[in-house]
Amino acid sequence: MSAAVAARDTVVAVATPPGTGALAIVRLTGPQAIAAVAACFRGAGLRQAASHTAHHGYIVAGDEPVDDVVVTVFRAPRSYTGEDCVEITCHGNPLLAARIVDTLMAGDPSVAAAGPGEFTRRAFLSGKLDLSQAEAVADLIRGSADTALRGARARLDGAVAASVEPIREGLLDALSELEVELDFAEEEGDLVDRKAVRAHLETVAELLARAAEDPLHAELPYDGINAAILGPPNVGKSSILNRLAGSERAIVDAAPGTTRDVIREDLSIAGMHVRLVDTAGIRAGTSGVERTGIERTREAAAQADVAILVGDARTGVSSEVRAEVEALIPAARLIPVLNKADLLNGTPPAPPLDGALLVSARTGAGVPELASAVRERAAGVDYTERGAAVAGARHRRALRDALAEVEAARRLLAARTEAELVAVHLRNATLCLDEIVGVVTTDDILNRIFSRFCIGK
Amino acid sequence: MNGTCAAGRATLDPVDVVVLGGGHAGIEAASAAARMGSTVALVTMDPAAIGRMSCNPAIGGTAKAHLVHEVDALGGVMGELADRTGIQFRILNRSKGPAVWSTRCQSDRDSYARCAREHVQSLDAVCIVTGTIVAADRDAAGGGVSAVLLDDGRRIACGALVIASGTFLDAVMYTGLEPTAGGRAGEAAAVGLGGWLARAGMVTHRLKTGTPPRLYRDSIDFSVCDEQPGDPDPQPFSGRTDRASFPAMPQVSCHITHTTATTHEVLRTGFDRSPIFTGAIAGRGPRYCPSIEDKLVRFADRDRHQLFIEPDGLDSDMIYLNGFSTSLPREVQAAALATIPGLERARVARPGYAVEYESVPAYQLGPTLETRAVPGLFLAGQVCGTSGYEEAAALGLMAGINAACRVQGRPPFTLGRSQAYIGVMIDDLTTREWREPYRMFTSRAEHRLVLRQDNAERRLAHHGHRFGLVGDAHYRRVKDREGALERAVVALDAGRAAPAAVEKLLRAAGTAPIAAPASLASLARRPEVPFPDLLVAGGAADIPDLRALLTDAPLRAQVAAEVRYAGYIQRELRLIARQAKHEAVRIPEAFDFAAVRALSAEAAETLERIRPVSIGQASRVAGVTPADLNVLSVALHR
Repeated sequence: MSAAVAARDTVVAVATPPGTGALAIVRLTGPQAIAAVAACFRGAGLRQAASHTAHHGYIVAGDEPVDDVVVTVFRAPRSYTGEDCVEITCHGNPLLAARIVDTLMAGDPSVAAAGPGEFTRRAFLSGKLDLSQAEAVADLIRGSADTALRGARARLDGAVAASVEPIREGLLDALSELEVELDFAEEEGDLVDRKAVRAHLETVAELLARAAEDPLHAELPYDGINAAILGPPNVGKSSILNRLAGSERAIVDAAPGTTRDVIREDLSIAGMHVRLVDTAGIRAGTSGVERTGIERTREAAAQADVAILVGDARTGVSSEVRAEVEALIPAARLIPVLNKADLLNGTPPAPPLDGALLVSARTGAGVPELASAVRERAAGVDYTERGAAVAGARHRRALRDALAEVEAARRLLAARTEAELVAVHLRNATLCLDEIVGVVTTDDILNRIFSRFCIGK
Repeated sequence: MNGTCAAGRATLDPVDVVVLGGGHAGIEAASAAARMGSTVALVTMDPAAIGRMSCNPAIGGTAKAHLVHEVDALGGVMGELADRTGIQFRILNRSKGPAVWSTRCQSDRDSYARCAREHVQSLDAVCIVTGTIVAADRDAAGGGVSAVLLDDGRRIACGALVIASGTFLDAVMYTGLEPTAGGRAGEAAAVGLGGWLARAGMVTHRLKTGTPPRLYRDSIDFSVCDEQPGDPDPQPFSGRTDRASFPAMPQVSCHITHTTATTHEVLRTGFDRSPIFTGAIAGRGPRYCPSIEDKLVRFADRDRHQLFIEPDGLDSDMIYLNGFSTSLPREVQAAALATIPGLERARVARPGYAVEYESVPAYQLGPTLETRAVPGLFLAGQVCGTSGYEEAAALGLMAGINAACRVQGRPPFTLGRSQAYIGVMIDDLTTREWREPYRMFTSRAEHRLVLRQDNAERRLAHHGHRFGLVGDAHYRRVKDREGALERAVVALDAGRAAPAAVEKLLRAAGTAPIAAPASLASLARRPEVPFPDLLVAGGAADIPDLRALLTDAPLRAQVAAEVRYAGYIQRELRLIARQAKHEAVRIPEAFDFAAVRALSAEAAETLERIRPVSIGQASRVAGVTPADLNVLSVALHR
């Protein structure tokens, strides 16, 4: 756990699934929960509010109202977590909920995005849950951490990692220049290069400013259900995707994948946001070029909350393919489907696929049932615990915090302040980025020093 | 009892603590345990070698000086020994802030060893035993250490054992491809104990270190080298050193020269006979202290490398060529030296060599440096994976204190990462699997601004006093100075400087003048403004609580640091307080990580091996994720 995270005792998360229901709930827990909401709440004075009372008002970012909300205050120890808790009920738009989270975190630096399992963990540690639930709680944390990890991997897969990695590199370069100056005082003067530090930091600051404004991160809170369509080639996977998309009027976005041969569709199924990914066909014993496609399929499956396994109703699904798919995704998250039901002409599907839905992408038969199956499985994902809905807000916060630290470091450098103080700010900046790209240890810095500088008397 | 136990009886008098090794770790361990009231047998293969500096004749340097100050603050002896025998003192990093100021001294090698030996001999509770320990007895299977066995069959009953064997365990030295058994030039290796450690269930591995050639002083032409004198106002390490008689020895200069392109060519001709490049030595050496041949390979584009010519002592005819550590064949060393300005006619008294030795990775130790496999067995210094005199001394002191605590039934003594560099080092050592010898760096300390050499006594002297290692009189002085410091900080905040009074000073420093009276503290935070001048201009002579700062340089440095870093320090203290909650969640010694179903298999396996003592420490174990920590904290509450 990074110091930056450890230092923030109050956490916030969107507690409702990322759908477009009528209402969404943003939940906070921790010593600053009430104060943090009060700071951006226009309405009755929350600071003195009694426990278990609801208050109508507006969440405001500066002077600008974000949403019309009802705030419910729960005071320690009479709350789910045993700490001060606040629930903000807002309109059921996921972007709005994410914006409220963003506003709260921007308004109070001691508020952090909740990690996986955070609310339940706190409830348990405050003695709010039965002891016999301990194992279940631990499993839940592990499970949701895995889910969050899948989300994180999805996010870091491409563009986000590409935008953050040069920032981290630049920071580490600057830091190792400074640290070599501090730890190797007796080495020859040409080791130390303040100009290089300043140049690194100028680049880093530019990159951070750009990344913080990047729509890439702005888009992140919109983080619905990931569903993948898997199956052998030519069973009509793309047709099913088109049919699912077409059967719903609310298509959010349709973009063919540019870097991979998978198609994504962002759509709304019964009010729930779903990102549907079509994949390359799975064939037993493929090799070479096709393997690349399979690797991408694997990735899509690994990131999926729900997977639709499609077979041809006339031939079923071979046991090899089934085994391959079940290795990628647990059976509980799998929806088996037999397509091309219209071609059966009344004969039963063979060999049968256990519990499979019979569907015809061409006629649309069975598609509504498939849509509700997706929704049903998706509802089983624990959104409260997964914390992914605020990932975008967390990213932006981390990037902005990092930028503030880098700017402070640059000011100190310009004022010829001693290296050890500049280093404090750069370390803080790396701690901020820890929340996006993983922890930097002091060894990372020393390793860089040893590989770049000729050290040692 | 000193001296009475050296006779060749089969069974020696029982002691509380046996210390193996008379190096920097062994001296501190024996001294601390004895001064805490335990009886000690210091077992060494050669009593004449006690306190011998194996490598460079110097104490301190960046981060290492912090350790020396901390050892001193806790009542250890390294600081005083260095102060009495130093022949050049410098504060490194003076151009930077006080958090990274680091004292370094050149020592008179023979005087240092003599003073160390005399100190050990002066302790009534310590007897020096000449011999080699080959095994230890235990109370029962799995029980604590009850005695040590020497190679000649003698036996010493004891309640605790501190092994501080340096590089001597199963050691092999190399100059070129010829291996010689031995832990240091002219001294035998310690054979037997390594096998016992393995039988007792401990994992060991090979580490490597090296040392440069020693040259005859009169064969060097200093006139072509750059002179590097000491500081004009040398500062001692120890708070107990009497400044009136410091420095105790005459002060001398070092010199600097450089290798040349020709040197590099000559050295390369010997690479085919390098024990490191040919694989004869498998042990990993420290990357921060590379041999000259390593430097040539890793930094092939550099056409020269800096070398320090360090005197071995005031009257010594030897010099130490710092920066030229090598294990190449002796004829290659000699030929290469002849190409270096100033060393053209240098005569080699002893070639450089590498030494490969057995070490016990410290993840097998708890925070008291006691091994988990054998209760009552403590390790300190190179044998548990560090490098350097200062690291060894710090670990020796901690091991000695804890060995005494164990036999006296007192609670163990540990220091956290926010309390001392010693705490950072022990935490680092015991939570990671290190593949190279560990050296202290200031960048390893996340609370660097709080852990300064100037405030070591304020941080730690109360512990030393509690254990009887710091005397009452000195401790009173420490407390008095603490009071003076606190009053001075308050006075700086309260004191106002009129614009006219400081105008000249600010202009000379190249910083903006003030329009209205400003607090002295706010001006002291400007890095360009020299603090002593500010005190004068700000009228410190007329402010009772500041007057002392005009003459008392150490107090002035402490006050400057507190004021300069004030904002940062407050922020760090808040972070430390929060982190303390995680450190306070203890993991029981017998905790079964594998039984926690929801831990990832990888995390469970790593935690089982490293066995962190708290959630805080677990968070620093490589490969343990925040989710693992949450799972663990839930499991601990069951």
